Amino acid sequence: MKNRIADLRRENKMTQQALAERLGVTRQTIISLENGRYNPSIMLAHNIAQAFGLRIEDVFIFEEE
Amino acid sequence: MYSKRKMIWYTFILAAGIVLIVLSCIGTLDSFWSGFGGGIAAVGLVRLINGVKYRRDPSLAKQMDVSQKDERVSFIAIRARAWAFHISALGSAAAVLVLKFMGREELAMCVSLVFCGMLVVYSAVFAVLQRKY
Repeated sequence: MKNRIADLRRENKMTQQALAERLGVTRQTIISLENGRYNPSIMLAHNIAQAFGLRIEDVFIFEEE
Repeated sequence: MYSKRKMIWYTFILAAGIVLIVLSCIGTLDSFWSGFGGGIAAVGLVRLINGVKYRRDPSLAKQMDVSQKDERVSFIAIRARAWAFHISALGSAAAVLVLKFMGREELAMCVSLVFCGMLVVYSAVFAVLQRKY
């Protein structure tokens, strides 16, 4: 699933490590999320959206196959 | 993560391993137990060293806690376990056929029992999880 995590992180001037610490995950998880290699659980998706002050659908781009 | 109780348990494992090695060296137990004792002593020692590092360094402790609770790491571990079971089951089935062709009837029977046992355990766990979720 595509997402805007990398763009939003840069807009908020956050490093991957800082975002990882805020969400309680490893930096490697942030890297995998940004690369689209890993899809987060609903809880983590919610926490990511909250970290940026947005809704889940504003962060994650759901494309129908 | 490395509570006092766990540290005591790891110390016990290390001590038990050393005892088994010593008993094997003096001839009370056979050599199998020295290998087994060496294995569990090594596990106990590594866990104890990690536990000491965890207790002494708060930033390392935090890093280890995050790694343990990280959902991606859990996801990878679950997938790895599933693949390991899958490969083991297929490998066992293949081994049964190979052993039968080689004329090793008893060994083929043992491996086929292990394979059947794995399938029974899988079916039981699947049934339990199906009810739970």
